[in-house]
Amino acid sequence: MKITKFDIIVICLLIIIPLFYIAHQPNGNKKLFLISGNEKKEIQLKDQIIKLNNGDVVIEVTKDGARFIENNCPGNICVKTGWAERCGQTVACVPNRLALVIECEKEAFDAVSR
Amino acid sequence: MSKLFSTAFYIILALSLVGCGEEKYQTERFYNMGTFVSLTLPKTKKNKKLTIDVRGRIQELENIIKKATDKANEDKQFCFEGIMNDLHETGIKYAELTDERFSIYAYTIAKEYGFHEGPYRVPSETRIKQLTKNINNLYDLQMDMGAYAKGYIVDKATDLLKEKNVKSAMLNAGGDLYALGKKGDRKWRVAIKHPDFHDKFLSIIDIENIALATSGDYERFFKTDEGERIFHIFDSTTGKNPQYHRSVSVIADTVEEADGLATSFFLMPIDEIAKKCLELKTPVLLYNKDDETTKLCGWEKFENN
Amino acid sequence: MQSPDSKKLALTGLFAALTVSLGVFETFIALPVPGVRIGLSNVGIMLCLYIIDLPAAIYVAIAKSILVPLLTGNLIVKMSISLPATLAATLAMALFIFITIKHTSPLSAGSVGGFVHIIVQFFVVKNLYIKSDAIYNLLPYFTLFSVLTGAITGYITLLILRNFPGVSKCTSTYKK
Repeated sequence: MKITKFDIIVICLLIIIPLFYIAHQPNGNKKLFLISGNEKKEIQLKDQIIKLNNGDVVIEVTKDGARFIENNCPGNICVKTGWAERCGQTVACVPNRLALVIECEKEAFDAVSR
Repeated sequence: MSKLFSTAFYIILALSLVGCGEEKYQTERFYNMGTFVSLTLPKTKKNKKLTIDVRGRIQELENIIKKATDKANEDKQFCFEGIMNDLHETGIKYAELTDERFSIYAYTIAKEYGFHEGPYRVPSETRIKQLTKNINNLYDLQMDMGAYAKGYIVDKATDLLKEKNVKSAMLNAGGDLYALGKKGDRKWRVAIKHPDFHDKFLSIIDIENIALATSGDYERFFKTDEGERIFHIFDSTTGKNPQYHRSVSVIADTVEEADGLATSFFLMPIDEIAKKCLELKTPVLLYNKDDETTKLCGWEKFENN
Repeated sequence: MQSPDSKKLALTGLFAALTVSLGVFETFIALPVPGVRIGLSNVGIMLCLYIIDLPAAIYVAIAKSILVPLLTGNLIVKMSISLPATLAATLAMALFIFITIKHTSPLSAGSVGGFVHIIVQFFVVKNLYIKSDAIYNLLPYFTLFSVLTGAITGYITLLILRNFPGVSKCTSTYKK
């Protein structure tokens, strides 16, 4: 059994697909959202500390982004992930259904008339 | 193994080229006609040079009109010639449409309020009466064709684009805009700004080969000591701001028409506009002080769902 | 495949044990990206696909999806994400191998598995846990990583296959 040309083609294809999406991330107005289960709530990007679940979950927000500084979920992956700062960046804590997302508005129009 | 890597390299190269195959657009912004003008064109070398030409054309026309307007406002005698004659006749058309409420000489009043040059102030009632009388008698006047001159210039610049065989472009002079062709495989998408919120829109429309202009009370205004908002559009028969609308948008074949009609309709109540826009076949969007949006003469047809 | 059932059974058990122990083992390997693992246990599933058959691979996939969470904690969440993703990846790899066996090696089969695995994982997370499309923002990065780790596990599988006794006979499962 040998590595073939076809192998390389398949892998390249599979790499190109996500690269394409990464390259096409929108840039624009940053907005921070806290997602908890089904709810999505916008959080102002300013220096603040947000406590959830009776203080088990602590979120630090600055004008640039946000991160979990305390979280009671196993493994503490979301705390280790660090900051969500750039467009499309997400810090997710799956076990307690929390996520911090930075979304950037795409320019939805070609022009504005005023 | 090295052969495999070179294969991988070429495949990635080829695929990334395919990925970039879609048509890219580039927007150039420049300051002309007292506002930011933006020109969006497919990104090519040829179009880069074309942007410079378009700006040149705009600058040239702006200078001619400004010079002539200044001269007219300083001199006692003035004859309308060339471009100015065309613009003057257009002005008469809008004056007739609005029963003389629109006038290129309404600037006589606007200037008294301090518009364009400042400082802002509210003239006395007797002064305003005097000035409206002057306009009526065509005596001691100040002229400004800004209500539709900008549209005229954008039209001429668009003509230049058409001459150069451009199939797709968006020329937007502070909201007075022309959408040439389509953007890629879809129409140009334009939002009409809400007077009070910078991130809210009254309507979003998809347009192609057509012009759009908006007049509003929120772009150039000042507040009196009593908190009253005075803006730059004046009814030349009363010398006051018209109070029918807060924002008027018009879709028409040329930017000059859209621009002129947006200002004219600003001076007219809804029922009159409804009649006129049917005659002129120009869709209209109105927004008034009571937070009501009115769509007339087929505006809805342009809205995307 | 000529092997008697007992040999098949023994191999399936061996690969299941390999898969589960690799799955537990790799939770101790720290990667620079939090929450991400190489997916070494995929090696066992791929060996099943190449050496035994699809049902065996599915047994191993199910065993892995249930046992690894059981042994590493956080049972329900991990299992609900892992089971559909592992099964989908197994089926996708089986299909891929079935169609392209003559032209490909486990290298690309592994990356296909990684690709499908991560996408199904995100789909499950989106529908069960974090019900926001925003979660898909992360997907491209994870997909990129997953395809690469998939290729790595595929390569490991390839190395094992090359040295597996009698493998030239056994790979006949997916020959048309």
